[in-house]
This record gives sequence, structure tokens and C-alpha cells, in this order.
Amino acid sequence: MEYKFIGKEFKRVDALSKLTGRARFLADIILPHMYYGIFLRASIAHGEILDIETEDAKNVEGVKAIVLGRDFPHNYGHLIKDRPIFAFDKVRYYGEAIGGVIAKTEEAARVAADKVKVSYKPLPIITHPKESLNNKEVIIREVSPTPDMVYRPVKGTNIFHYDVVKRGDVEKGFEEADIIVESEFNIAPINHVQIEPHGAIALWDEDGSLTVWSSTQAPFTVRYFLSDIFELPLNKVRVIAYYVGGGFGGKSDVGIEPMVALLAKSVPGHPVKVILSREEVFHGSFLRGNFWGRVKTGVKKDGKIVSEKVEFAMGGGGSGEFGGTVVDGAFKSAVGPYEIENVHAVGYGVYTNLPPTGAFRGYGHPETHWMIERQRDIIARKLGIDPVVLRKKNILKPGSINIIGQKIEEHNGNLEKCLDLVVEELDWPNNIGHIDKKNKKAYGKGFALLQKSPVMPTNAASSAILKLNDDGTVNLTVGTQEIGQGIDTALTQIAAEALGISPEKIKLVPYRDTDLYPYEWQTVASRGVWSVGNAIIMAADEVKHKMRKVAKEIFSVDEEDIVVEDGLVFPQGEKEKAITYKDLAIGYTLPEGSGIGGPIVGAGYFIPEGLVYPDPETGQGNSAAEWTFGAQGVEIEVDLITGKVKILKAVTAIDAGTIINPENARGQVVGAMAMALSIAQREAIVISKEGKIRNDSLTDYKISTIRDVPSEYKVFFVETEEETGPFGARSLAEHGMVAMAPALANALYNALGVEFFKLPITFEDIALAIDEKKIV
Amino acid sequence: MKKIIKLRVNGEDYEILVEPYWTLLKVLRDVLGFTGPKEGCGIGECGACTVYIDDKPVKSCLVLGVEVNGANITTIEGLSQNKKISGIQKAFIDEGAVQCGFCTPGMVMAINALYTNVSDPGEDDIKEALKGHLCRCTGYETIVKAAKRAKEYYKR
Amino acid sequence: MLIPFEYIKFDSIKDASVFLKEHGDDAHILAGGTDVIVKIRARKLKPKYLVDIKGIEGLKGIEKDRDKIVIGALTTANEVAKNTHIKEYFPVLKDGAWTLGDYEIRNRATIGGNICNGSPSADTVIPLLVYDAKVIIASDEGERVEALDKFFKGPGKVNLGPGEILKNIILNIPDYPVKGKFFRVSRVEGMDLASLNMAILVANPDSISDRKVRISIGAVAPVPLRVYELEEFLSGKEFTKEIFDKAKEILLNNLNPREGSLRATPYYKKRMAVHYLSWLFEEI
Repeated sequence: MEYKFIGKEFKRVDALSKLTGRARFLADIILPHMYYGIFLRASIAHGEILDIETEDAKNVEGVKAIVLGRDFPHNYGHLIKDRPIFAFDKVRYYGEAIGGVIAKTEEAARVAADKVKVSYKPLPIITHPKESLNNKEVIIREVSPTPDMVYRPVKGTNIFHYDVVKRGDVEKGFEEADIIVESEFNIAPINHVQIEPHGAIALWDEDGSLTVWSSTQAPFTVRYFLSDIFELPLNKVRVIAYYVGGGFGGKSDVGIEPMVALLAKSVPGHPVKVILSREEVFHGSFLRGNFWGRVKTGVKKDGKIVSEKVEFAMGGGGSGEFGGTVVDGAFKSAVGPYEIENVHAVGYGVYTNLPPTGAFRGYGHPETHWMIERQRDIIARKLGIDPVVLRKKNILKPGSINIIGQKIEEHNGNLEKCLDLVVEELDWPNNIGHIDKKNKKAYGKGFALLQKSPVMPTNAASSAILKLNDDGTVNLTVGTQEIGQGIDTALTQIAAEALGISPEKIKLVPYRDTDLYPYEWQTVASRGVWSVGNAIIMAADEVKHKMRKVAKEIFSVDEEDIVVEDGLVFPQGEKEKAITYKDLAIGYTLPEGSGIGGPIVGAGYFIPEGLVYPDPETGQGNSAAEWTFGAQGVEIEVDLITGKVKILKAVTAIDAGTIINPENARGQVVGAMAMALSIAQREAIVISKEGKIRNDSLTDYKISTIRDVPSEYKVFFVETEEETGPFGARSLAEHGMVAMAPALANALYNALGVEFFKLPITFEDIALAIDEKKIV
Repeated sequence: MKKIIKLRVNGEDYEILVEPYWTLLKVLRDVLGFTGPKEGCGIGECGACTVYIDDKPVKSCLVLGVEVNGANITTIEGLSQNKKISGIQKAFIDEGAVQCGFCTPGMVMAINALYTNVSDPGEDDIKEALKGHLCRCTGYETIVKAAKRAKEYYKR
Repeated sequence: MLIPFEYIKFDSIKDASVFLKEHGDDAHILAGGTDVIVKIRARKLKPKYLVDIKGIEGLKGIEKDRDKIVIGALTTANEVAKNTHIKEYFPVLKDGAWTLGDYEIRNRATIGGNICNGSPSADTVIPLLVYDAKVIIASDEGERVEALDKFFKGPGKVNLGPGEILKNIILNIPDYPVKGKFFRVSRVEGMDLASLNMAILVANPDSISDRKVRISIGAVAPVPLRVYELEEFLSGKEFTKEIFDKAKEILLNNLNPREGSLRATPYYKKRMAVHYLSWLFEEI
């Protein structure tokens, strides 16, 4: 379809303020009479808290209060209730907060916090998910199932949640198969490394109402949890959020807000501000948990996959509330974007002595795709057929049934076309890999496929309000957050298209405030454009409807004969009589002077209809709202001396439906590719045998710098219009993360003939493999 | 013990009372309200806090306020003067190089400094100037493009 | 955030030295601050007084004094890397200095600070060692000269007595032909600490009999390492395959990288050191 503003160039609405330093972030906020808080953090990874000595700390000048977990022994959670505000009985990971100090200055709070002495009874630690899954001796957290619990903990184990998919009969499938391929995979835990550290400010009024300013991706979810924890009505909790300096999921789960609120409760009238240090971001926010998995695949000689058994465990850290849903996400992609008759997949979330697992761009999908897309190449090699051919024999197409029993429709997107675009860009199957001994370099190409749906509750809703101003310009308010993804810009374009006026006339009011802005579930799952976009279209319809109602009086015609188009309102066929939005914005004045109508406001909402909970025994059911498919590839050069990999080209072809803003959409895909490659090539939380995170700084947790990223990025958009999306758009922002790691490892095999099964694949791993294989 | 220091920031003179252990970044942000420079790590690794001391770019989280008594400081807020933004800021808009915006002020300061030292920087000069600036959003593609594009504006 | 300390600035070595002596471990010198502030922030260093020496005359700049180059301890890494004398006579030092931190760090970081920080992989120290640098150490009681090689006592520990301040670095301009190279590998290609750095200098490279070799390596021992045994072995030798095999053995025997480093494994460090050594046999 041809649109006026959708798919057209439109510069980011937040660019200028971010370039001049005017844009506001949480840390920029300083309030009158503000105090500062510092959290007390555990110095061991697992143990019972015996005694906490605070006398010396209290005597530090400027200290206002010390709050301990034991003062508020409460576990909160929506799905399992296993998150303490501050640890009170035992600590379950190094750096877990056990309380906090409030002081007049941050330095005084720091000095005092260092004087608090805690004694523990240490307990054995477990950090690897496979170890935790099989362990029955060291139970990190006891949870007894309750009737209202959404998760499925297994008594006497560290399992806090699991998901099962059963389709057909895998054992029968294996019997029918010509070959069976089994592989085991691992992924290290990682951190989001948003450049903005997490922060929050909390203020309790004397009337018992609570205001929290936060760097959150999800102000309304923060509000919900605060109201639940502190037993306040929602209209007594206000959450205000500014721009988020990078989220990637790591600011979507409720983290420090209840902690800061609990601190502030002891000093009503004084806002208490806490900004995590970078070190604290590593052990005091969320991680993408470590991951272990095993895949067994039965295949026919011609490449048809007949049976696949997948088992995986994700380390959930010390509490599972925000990690179990990552397992829920992963299981829907446990066999990737393929149609397989017989599938048995089990995914576990297990407690570990690490910081809790939360959302991370890709939400379980990069993990399962790491296994599956490696496995596909390995199978193709064993069968001696081209991995493109193998994939094409099995991929989801219109009419296919996916792992959860959904039938794939045309409008879900064209995976095969994405694959074709990527292999064409890679000039596959020519020169897929070789070693250049003379120059001590190796070259390889690899690719992988991806799918993802928004992982969310079945009732994740959005809303939007459009308000006409006197001059015909429009203010738009939404509850979704601008976290760098460009949502404010895309939604401005959607509003412009829906209202038929130029985006310059629309102001999406920056920053969010739960008291003033309409409801939004969360800014996660790449669902913003899709979900809020639909709400805006509905709001625009209401605006137009209200204008029609007034216009019919003015023109004395039936409502359905009023045309609202391009900022004009006129009776059908009589454009010369047109009045403008401006004329109607705050009410219309008839020639005799009397007013009709009134200020025009349109509200809209969206909820994904028809979603159901998956069947607990089989995982079947319509639990995924929409799917985005894609393919990714890389061309690499390996330095045989240093083991370092240079990414010569990184490619993504993605069917994200209609692209609202091509420049920003490309920015999302490119950024995701770079992030995924950074993770695949070097990122890992390094844990000491005592369970301490050793690389809790940017000195030693290295992310890709400007000299480490691909030399060239290629992005192709296939635009199969999404039936359920605004103007045919669907999810996009996470997907560039999903298949980069397996694409890289597949390329490494083609370059060196070495199979890698764990992430990251560091230059040291590669150098070792080069030496072991005596390649140089 | 607090000390009085004089700073000229973005062309304005200030005389302020600071604690000796306050970094220049903290002084600029919390005392003077120049919140453009950001703290991402506090140890000079991320580059978000870059400002100029007497026209030389430095990481202000590694400098004490008291150390630079009498200095001339430029922050991101000082790059746009008389309602006109600098060439590199313009180029960032042109190339869509802003995402979350947290690293942006530091990136802009570093590239602007590069243009004052090198009139025609190549890609390697740009990457050298930004090698201590982390961005988690963009994959740096648009940032490099913007840095190159800025050339058009600085030539004039 | 930094925990509280007092700040005091001196304009003479004498006054600074007296103060430092009087306050012992309570006082710590502040030069560029790019290491000290990081340590204070991590609370690995908790000084009561931070003693700024940037007001002291004569500690800045690079001067040529007949056959010598004198570098003031407060000269920044960028000033070292951009200096024409350094570029002309000590290119390996230029290369080392240019890899320290990034441009903005180098605008603050000083060569004296890089030395006194005592890191086993300091990027200016590794090249300075192959140039046989000497340091002048001053206090209120006078000055002493020491070979830089003798200045390091362990990770983060240098040979500075109470009240002593590193004043200058002295480099003798070689009056014979030299060829040298600085090598470095790090985890990322952008700003990063060295996982391993190494400097090789060959005097009289074109005359086998007069050849002398100097080699220093960082991050393979508790201090920046000069590999004297290897230097002696290689001096006056023709660089053949057999000699390389033997040299490799001597090199590896001298390396003792610690296990558990976050920068690189001992295996990788040794592998890269051997590779860098091969430069001698391929390029000379």
C-alpha cells in the first residue's frame, strides 16, 4: 500500500535534545531536600545471614537511616513470589542487596555502608544450570507451589519453572530417521551493559502516597508492583520516567524501585536517590542467565527432519520471578522456525547463585537458536547436503504448523525469501570457506534463520490519547517508553498517517508519568509499534468521529457523508467548503456566534485478541500473537596468529511487515547485529569459584568498541503486511540479535573446520583450536 | 574541606564551593546543572562524560573539580551557540546516529575535538578518536557515517 | 563517587616531599589521575590526602640535552607520543605511548604516573625498558638516579621511599643504528589494557657480530620484564631457524604469567610472545 508518512524519511523526534544535552535522564534529576541511598551488598554468594552490625555506620555524620531486609521480610512477585526487596533470611548471590543506608550525601552513605558488618553461615554454591538441574543437595530456594502460582516449581529441586512441548511421538520419529544427530550446547551469562546505569528516586508524602522516578522501561509495571508490595491503591503510586539510556530488557523487570521506595519510607518528605555504580549494574540488576541445552534430531537422508528432542535449562539466579517467562519465550522457539512432526521439548528455569535472570533482547530466542541453527548445519554436513537445501526442506511456510500448533498464514511473513536474500548476498555456496596459509588468514561464510513472537501475557494492553490543540496541531500521549528504539518517532508517523496530517504537526509528549499518560503494559518484546500503533489508529478514529459529529451540524448532512482527510473536513464531493482541524479543535463557532462541539480528544486501546495459555502438558495453543521471520549471515576473516575474527560483512533479511521508518528500522537491526556479535565473540560474566563476579566493570567486561564491529552491514526488509499490525507493521527491534551467534559459528566451521558448541567463542578459544588442529 | 574554585564553563564564569573529592563531572552536573555529560562507568571506560578542559577533550569522571581551578571548560551544552548546532550535531541528525542518546554527548565532543585537530580525518582517525567511547545501541555504523558527513559542515 | 579525602597542591618538590614524608601512607601523589582516581573509586586506595604535584615547575616537557632526552614525569602520554625527539630517536616509545588508553585519557595520563602505577604491562614502561631508561627520583633531601628496570618491586609497587617523587626519565640517544618494534594484543581493538605487550630493540641490526638485542615484555610476570638471558643469547647471533627454536625455549622459560588473569590465559600470552619474537627472525 502507498502511505503518506509511513515508510518515509522522518528524522527522530528526540535527536536534537539528545544531541544538545537537553534530553533528560533519571540521573539528571535533583530534587529539593533530596537524600542519597547506597545498598548494602552481600560479600558471599550463598549463605544464611546471621548478624548485621550497624552501630559504626549509624554514627557516620550525615546518615539518616539504615534499612535492612529483615525489617521488611517480604517476597513479592506476580508469577511465583520469590523476590525479596532486600534479602532477609539468606543471600543467594554475591552482591545481593541486604539493605541500604540513607544519608545527606552519597559519599556519607558510601562511607557508612562500608562500616556495616555482616556475618554469614556460608552454604555451598551452584552457578551452572545443568549442575543446578541435577542437584538435590543444595537447594537455593524452597518454594512450595500455591494454587494461584503461574510458574511450576518442582519440590525438592532447584527448578522454579518448566515448559513442555509435545507433538507426535519423538521415539517413533527417531526409529524412522536415517540418521540421528546429538549435540550439547552452552552459553555464558551476560549483562546488558546499557550505557546508562539503573537509577531510581522515591518520595513518600506525609499522606502515604508514593512517587517514584525511575530509569524503567515499564513505568506501569513498576507502579503495579509498588502498589502490591506497599498495599497502596494505584492512584497513590505515581511513576515518572524520562528517556532510558538503553534498555535491552534490562530495565523492564522491576528491580531497584521497591528497594529505593523501602529506603525512602523511613524518611517521608525527602526524596531518596540511588544510582547504581557500574559495578552494581553487574551484580545488582539482571543478567541474561547462563544456558545449557541438548538437542537430538532424527533426519531422513533427503534432509527431512522427522523428530527432534530438545532439553534445556536456564540459570535463573537467586529468584525466578522474571526469568521463568524467558523460558516461556524460549520454548516457543525450541526447534526454531521449522515444521517438525515429532517434537519433545522441555525447558527448565533453575535457581543458581547468580544475580537474577531477567529480560534480555531476544528473550530466550538467541539461546534456542544458538542450539538449533548450529544443529541444522551439523546435520547438513553429516548428510552431505547444502544447509540451504536442508533448511528449505523443513522451514515454516504458509500452511505449516509450528511447534505450538499454530498454522502459519501468508501474512505471518516470508521466511524463505529472507533466506534467499541472505544467501544471495553471501554468494552462497561459492567460496564458503578456505585457509590462506601464506597470509595466515582463514575465511568463512555462515548463515542462520530466526523467528520470534512478542513474549508477553495474553492480555498485554496498550493505549493512546490524541488531543487537538487550538491551532490544529496535536499532542499525543502514550505509556510506552522511548528507550532508544525510536518508538516516539514511529508512533508520531503512525499518528500522522492515521490523522492525515504531517508528522511535524504532532508532538508526542516526551517522558512518561503514570498519573498523566494512558496505560501501557511494558516497553518490551518489540511490540510497541504493533500494539501502541493500533491504539493510536483507534484514537485517531475517535478524533475523526468527533469531528464528523460536529461537521454534520455545520454542513447539515449525514455523518457518513462527512469526509475527514488531509487535515480537512468537508461534505462528500464538496471539498471547496472544507474547514480545517483547526476550526474544530476546541469547538466550532457558528456564524451567529454560538459554539458547538468542544475540545477534541481521542482515546484508543489495543489488546491482542484470541490469545490463550498454552496447554500445560503439550505446550499447544494460540499463545503467540504474531511472528517475525528472518535470516542472518556473516562473512568473516580469521587471523590465524591472534585467533581474532574480523566480521567483513553482517547481513540480515527480515520480514517485519510494513516498515514505518526505514532509517530507524535499519538502526535497530544493525544495532542488534552488533550487540549479538559482541556477545558471541567476547561477552561472559566471569565467576570465581566463590561465586563472585570477577569482571564487574567495563575494564574487564568488554563489549565491542568501534574497532570491533563488522566492516559492513547489509539489511533487507521483506514487507509482507501484517494483518494485525498498524498499517501492516510487526515486531522488529530484537530480531537482529536472534541468529547472529549461530551464523558466526557456522562461518567459523566453514573457515577452520572446527565445531564450536559454547558461547562466547573468544579469540583465545579460536587460537587454541587453530593450534590443536595445527592449522598454521 | 570545601574549596572555592573558579571555572569558565561554556563562556560563563562561575565561582563555586566544591568538595575536594568531587569529580569535575559531578561539579558540572550536580553543582552547575550541566547534565549533558553523563556518567556511564566512572572510570574512563565509556566516554560519556567527555568535556574539554582548555579545549582538550578529557574524561571528566577522572578529573577532580579542584584540580582544574581557573580552567576553561566546554560541555556538550556549549557546542550549540546562538541557537546554532555544530556540524557534528547536524551530521548526527542527518545520519540517524542517535538512539538512546546516553553516549551521544561524549561521541559528539570527541568528534568535534577531532575536527579541531585534523581538518580532513579519515575513517581510521575517526575510529581512533572514538576507541574509548562505548555505544550499545547503534553498532557504531551511523556514528562513523555522521563523523564523516560532518566534514561538509566543518569545511565551511 | 569518591569517598572523602583532602586535596593539597604544592609548587615545589621540597614542600611536597616534606608533606608526603610527614603523612606516610595517608598521603598519595596525584598526577594525571587516570589510575589514582580509578583506585580511589574502587576503594582500593583510601588516601587522607591527595597531593597534587602538577603545580611543581620542571616536571613537565621533553628536552634534548646533547646526547640525552629528558622527559618530565608530568608529561602527558599524548605529549610523549607527539614529540618530535621521541618520534625521531625513540619510535618504540612513541608507539607504546600512543596505545595507552585513548586520546582523552592520554590528555591527562602522565608518563610518570604510568611508571609509578606499577602495572606489569604499562604501555610506556615496556618501550622505556628496551631503551635502558633511567629515572631521577627527587625528595627534599636531594636526587638519586636509578635504572628503570630496578624501579619495580611487584604489582602496583615501585621503589619510591618516603617523600620521594619521580622527577624525570632519562633516555640516552643511541649513537649506533637501531631497529625496534612495539607489540601489543588486547581483548578488544578499541580502548583496552594490554593482554600482553612487548618491545624488541636491535642495536646494529645489519652487523651480525655487533648485534645486541633488548627485549621487554608486559603482563607475564609481577613486574615489567626485561628478558636478559634471551638478550644475551641473541646478541651477536645470526637469526636462523635453529637459533629461533632455542630462543623460543629461553623466552618461554622466562615467562611466568599468572593463572586466572582476565586479560588472557598463560597459554595465549606465551603463544603471542613467541609470535612477536619471530619478528626478529623475519624482519631483521
